[in-house]
Amino acid sequence: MTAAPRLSRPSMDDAALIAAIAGGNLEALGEVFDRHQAEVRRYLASLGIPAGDIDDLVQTTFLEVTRAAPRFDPKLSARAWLLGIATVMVRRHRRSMGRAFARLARWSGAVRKDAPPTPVEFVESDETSLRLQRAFDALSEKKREVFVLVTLEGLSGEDAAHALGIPVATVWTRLHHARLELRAAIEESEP
Amino acid sequence: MTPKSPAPSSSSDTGCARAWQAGAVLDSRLTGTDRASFERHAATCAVCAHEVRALAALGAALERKSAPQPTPLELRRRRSQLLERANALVVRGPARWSTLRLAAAAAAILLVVAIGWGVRSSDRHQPMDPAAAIATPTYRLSTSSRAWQILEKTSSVRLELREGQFELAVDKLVPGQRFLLALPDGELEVQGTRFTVDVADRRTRSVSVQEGRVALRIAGHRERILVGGDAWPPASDPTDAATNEEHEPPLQVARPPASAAHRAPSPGPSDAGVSDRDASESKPTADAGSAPSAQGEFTLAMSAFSAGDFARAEALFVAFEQHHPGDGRVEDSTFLRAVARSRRGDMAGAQALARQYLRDYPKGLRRLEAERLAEGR
Repeated sequence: MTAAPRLSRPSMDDAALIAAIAGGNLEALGEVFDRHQAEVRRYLASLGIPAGDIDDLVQTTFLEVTRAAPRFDPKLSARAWLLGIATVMVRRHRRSMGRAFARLARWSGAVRKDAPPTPVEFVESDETSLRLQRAFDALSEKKREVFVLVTLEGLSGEDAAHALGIPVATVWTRLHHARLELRAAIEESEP
Repeated sequence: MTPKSPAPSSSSDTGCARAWQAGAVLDSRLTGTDRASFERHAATCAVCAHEVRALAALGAALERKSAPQPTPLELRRRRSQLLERANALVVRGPARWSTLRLAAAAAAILLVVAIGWGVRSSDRHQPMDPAAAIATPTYRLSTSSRAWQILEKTSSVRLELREGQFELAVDKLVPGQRFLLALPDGELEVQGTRFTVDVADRRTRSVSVQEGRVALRIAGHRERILVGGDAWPPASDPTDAATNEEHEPPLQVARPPASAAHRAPSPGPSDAGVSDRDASESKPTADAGSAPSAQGEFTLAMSAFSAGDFARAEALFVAFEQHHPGDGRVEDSTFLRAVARSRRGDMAGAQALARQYLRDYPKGLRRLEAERLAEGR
């Protein structure tokens, strides 16, 4: 494999960096990590990933970038693409956890009856916020992903659709139902 | 263009027929004159004004959630770790990273499998043992390629297709018979059907089923059952496996290199004279020349574990970890190797493997059990 060309200065846009990563440029990977690791961390936390697992999933996400980079379409949003990768990593992580718990109950003899680690907790004395948080945690994985990407991360419907690999109409449908469930939780606590 | 109204229940519940547009405005689906019209309406409609405020409040209330940020030193350390691991991928799997750039040069495999089609054939295979209780499936193969081989020819027929164009006609299968194709990146099993598979550049590009039923297993993806009319991936997203609501984002996960720096099995000290080397030198059963899928290898290892054949299970887990170091089940495999070793009576070896698990997965799901095992409890 030939030596990867060094990045030129000034800094390149995300699409150019991803193209460089596809060519084996690790400096470009480091640059992408510097630019986006915080929002990937935030996204993972918003999806309810325990704090203890976020570091591993951030690493896994950016490592996966090296494999997926050759297939990145520069016409699409790099940010949406990256969050889409993070979404895949989260789903695999959850499937792995589910299998692990089932297996432990059968073979290790140390039955773990509790659910997977609780989401990141923040101190909040307001009951409405607690209800909202519980309702958010109770959202299905698919609705939560859409809600986080569109409402919290500010992706457009089209970008969210690309990130998740679903039609735009499905994005709006899931978002609508997510909002209904969350609204119901708030209205339940109102006098 | 005005977006469609969602379920009518939302409008009727809020008491204004336009309340549903509040969400559309927030999502920027309502623009131009439609948006201006709604804004004028909301200025005089308490219901719609409340709807806009309530939806905006949802996002604001949940935005307070955040992940603890690492210190600058921790961040530099993690960045270095990432680059080291990425470099390991490049060093140990350069063919994978560079092969992706040679897509245009690879030949395509186009496969058409039919039941009862009168396909011209260059070879006709007969059952090897007509007297067997379950006969070998019969099929007709037509190809000019030499990049294929027969892996199995009993009540199940298993062919490996590596490169080229193949036409097959598979006769109707009876109960107990199976017909499988080992693809470069997965497996296809005929379940009585007519379908088309396109394989190129060591990837399965598409599968479309005209009639019947097909089980498609691609490395790194869950098994998919496709029936008549189904296609993989769907026409709207040609970049990856996706069917209706049950699919993953467009992402092709390449098979990781055969070995990776952080997944090499550690040598296991043992006062019983049994070590990881013994386990890894044991010959796990696998189809010669086949491309093992992660699911297949892991299932094989779990079957051995369930059957109480812990030595074989350990060897199979080692092989699984070496072949698929990026698979999400490697953590399970690492822990179960420790358990298998303890079941074999080698407590020193089990303790060493448990400590390896704790080093590799300090926040792993089974850290409590691994700690007990490492302490010999």
